[in-house]
Amino acid sequence: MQDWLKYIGLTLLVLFLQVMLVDNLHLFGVCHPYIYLWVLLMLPIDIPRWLQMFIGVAIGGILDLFAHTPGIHMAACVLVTYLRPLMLTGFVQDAERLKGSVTIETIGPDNYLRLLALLVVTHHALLFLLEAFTFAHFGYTLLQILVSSVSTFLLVLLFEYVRKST
Amino acid sequence: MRNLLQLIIRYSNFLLFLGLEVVAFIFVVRGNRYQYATMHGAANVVVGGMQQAHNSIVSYFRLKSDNELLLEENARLHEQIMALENRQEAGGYCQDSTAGYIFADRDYQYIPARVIAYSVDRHHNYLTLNRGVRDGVTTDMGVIGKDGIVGVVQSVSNRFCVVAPVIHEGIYISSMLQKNGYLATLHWHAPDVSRAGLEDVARHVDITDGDTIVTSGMSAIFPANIPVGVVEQVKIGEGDSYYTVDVALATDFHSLRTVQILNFAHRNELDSIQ
Repeated sequence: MQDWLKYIGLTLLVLFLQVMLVDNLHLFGVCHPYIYLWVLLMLPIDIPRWLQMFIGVAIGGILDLFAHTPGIHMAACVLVTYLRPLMLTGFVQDAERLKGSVTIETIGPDNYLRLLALLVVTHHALLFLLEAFTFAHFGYTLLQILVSSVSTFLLVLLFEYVRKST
Repeated sequence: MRNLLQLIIRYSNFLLFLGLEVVAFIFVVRGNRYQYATMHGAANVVVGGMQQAHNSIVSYFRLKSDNELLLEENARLHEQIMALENRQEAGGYCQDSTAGYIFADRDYQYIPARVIAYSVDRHHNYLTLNRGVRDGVTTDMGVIGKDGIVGVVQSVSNRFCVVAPVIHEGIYISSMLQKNGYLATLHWHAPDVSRAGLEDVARHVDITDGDTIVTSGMSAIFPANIPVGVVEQVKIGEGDSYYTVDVALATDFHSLRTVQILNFAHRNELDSIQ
């Protein structure tokens, strides 16, 4: 119970940071980190998968409201929450025995890096392609995906290490 | 039948995933239409409230430059008043009998507003302003800034409104060349927020770099002669019948903080006969 309160509090804090601070940074027009992937990745693993997806819908919906992008974050978050358990089973032995949040401690640094990288790239690819809704400026979209993925990856790692060491 | 049920149970997570993606996709496709605007209006009270709180903090850091911009705008307005007074003095088209008379197509009321949230790095950018229904704002009102055209009001709640700016791929602005009144359509493509394209400029039209583009006045949204931008580059291929025109937009969306919403006084009358 207490873990859940902690998780919800952290989620609200990160969402607040995302919409009030990060969304207002316009770095070179192509770099748009989505730090909320950190809490999406951290979501406890021992709850039913349908519930995980609905939590994805909720988080994505809140972001869509603030970013005025109907459905885009929702689609990307649902994809992440659907793929996360599948990727975990692929990376971690005895994945079904995992309990609680997915962190560096629970799945190990190697697996965490791999999982994070894959999820960030899939999330950003879907998000920016949906946002563009065309392949016309594909080079630009690709650049957005790459640069933003790298920045999200690094920021999430930073958060994760800060969390771990406190 | 039982096999089918087993299949559904076995793939229930995948089916749920597909279902949720379809829902999200419907939102994406239907975005910015009526349903979304409705939902938006309700959510605006919460979202807008938070954005305003955020803005009230951030605006302290901008007070100095904001004041400078306002002073600049004031100065320009005074200049305009002076120029108009001079014209009136000289006779112009304002004769004694029509002094104080406003031509119907210039009868706009200006509602000053502050930008409390904005985006510039998307295909469909937006601005949120701190004015809404209670200030007399409705959808499809034009918005201008100190340098020129900004956008069109897209959805309104009681206290806030969301504007689709010129840098929104769904917005087309009816414009004209100031020097000869030739009509063309301004349309923006991501990602460069300082440049847009001018469409429908035929080969025979006299257009060169540095020409000024203004609004045409052919709508109930903007009066004529509001600056839109300046022609930066004109290209035409050997066999093309239309020019490719790059326009440097008059408004800098990065530094836009204060705007005016235009309320056309005779919109209903005009709509009822058109």
